[in-house]
Amino acid sequence: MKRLPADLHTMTTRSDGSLLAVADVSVADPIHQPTGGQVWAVGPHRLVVADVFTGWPLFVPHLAAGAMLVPYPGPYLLLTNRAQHTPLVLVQPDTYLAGHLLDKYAAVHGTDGIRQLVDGQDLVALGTAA
Amino acid sequence: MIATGGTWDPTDRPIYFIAGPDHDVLDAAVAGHSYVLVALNELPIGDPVGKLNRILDTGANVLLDSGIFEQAMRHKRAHGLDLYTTLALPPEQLDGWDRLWPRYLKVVKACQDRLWGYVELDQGGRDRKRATRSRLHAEGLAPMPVYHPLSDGLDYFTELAEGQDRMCAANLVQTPWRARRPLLATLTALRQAHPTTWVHLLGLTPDQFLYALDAGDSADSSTWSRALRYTEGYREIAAGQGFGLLPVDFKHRLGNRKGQPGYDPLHGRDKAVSMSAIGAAGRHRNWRNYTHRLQELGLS
Repeated sequence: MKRLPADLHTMTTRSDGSLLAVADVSVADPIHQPTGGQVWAVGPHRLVVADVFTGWPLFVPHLAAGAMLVPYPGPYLLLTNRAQHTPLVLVQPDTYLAGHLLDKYAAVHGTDGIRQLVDGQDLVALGTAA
Repeated sequence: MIATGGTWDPTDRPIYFIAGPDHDVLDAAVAGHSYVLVALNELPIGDPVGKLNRILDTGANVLLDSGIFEQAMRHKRAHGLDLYTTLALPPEQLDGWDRLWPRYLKVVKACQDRLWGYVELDQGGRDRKRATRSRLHAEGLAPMPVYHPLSDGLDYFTELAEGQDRMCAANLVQTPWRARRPLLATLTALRQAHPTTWVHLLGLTPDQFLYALDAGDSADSSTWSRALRYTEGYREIAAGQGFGLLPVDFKHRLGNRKGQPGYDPLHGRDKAVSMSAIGAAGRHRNWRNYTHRLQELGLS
């Protein structure tokens, strides 16, 4: 995957540790408790809690132009440099990891941008962000 | 069929073991990833059993590596030999063998009932590996044998797969990234004839190759701790593949380590270890979920 200018900045710049200081490093059961079949808005992104192979009816409608599909994301993926520039559609079937994705994001950005979507709500919003 | 020693559960798969210095894997086991590989050469000279027990006391599943590879690399550097000449030497000709053998016996005998498994002293080619393994069996030990695909021949894989319930596959660390694919494809094909024999991939990260190829039941690497060793910081992944870096201030402050003046746990290396351990646990869990789902769908 092409390296972003922000990634080059990360590689070449000394850190003050300020974001590490607020990062959540808990492995206990997450505070957010998503369940299978749910779609969450996380800032400009979507987290779809569904099977990667068969859950496509749930996540395909969110794949607007410019969005990136991200199956099996790691727990800090929403904090990457790329997430600041590209709307992401995360597909994570594991409710524990999905909860931690939300918790890790909330620890840095707060909970204001996190909410569960119901019945295809906000499909247009992601396309606009793209 | 020889039952290799250890507490392993054949249904608990696949597994990503994180490798590295003893203090880092201990901290990582506490922080949240409970599968660790400890190499004998990483344990302190004075009290290796005590340190290993401290790691085991966390509840971690520990795979003990023999330390023979590090011993061979030291010998290679000291004598100006190439890698493959060094790996073919009889173990008794390796510098430090006379200290490594009793140390290996001491540590394994003290902890064998608690270890997930322990790797044999795999030096000198397949005939010498057989001889060394016989000596270990005579000592009452049952290590995981090691298959070197670049030098052992296909029949040796069959010999191990039919005679042992677990084995390791080596040669992956020193093989260039692109050349690993044919090695993994070969292992995948060989495993199909022996699906019940557990294969551990030494020094391999479960990346996108292992999402595509069922080359092993477990793997280990130190990749999980890149953020501690390189300037790029923490690299996040998706489906085993690198996705990108985090903003610069997620990196720890250099020089900020436990025990040093002015240590600050919020900005320091220990917190970066915890974050890396959680990332490893995520990698492990995603790989496992993917593999199980393939099986459920009849795709593996």
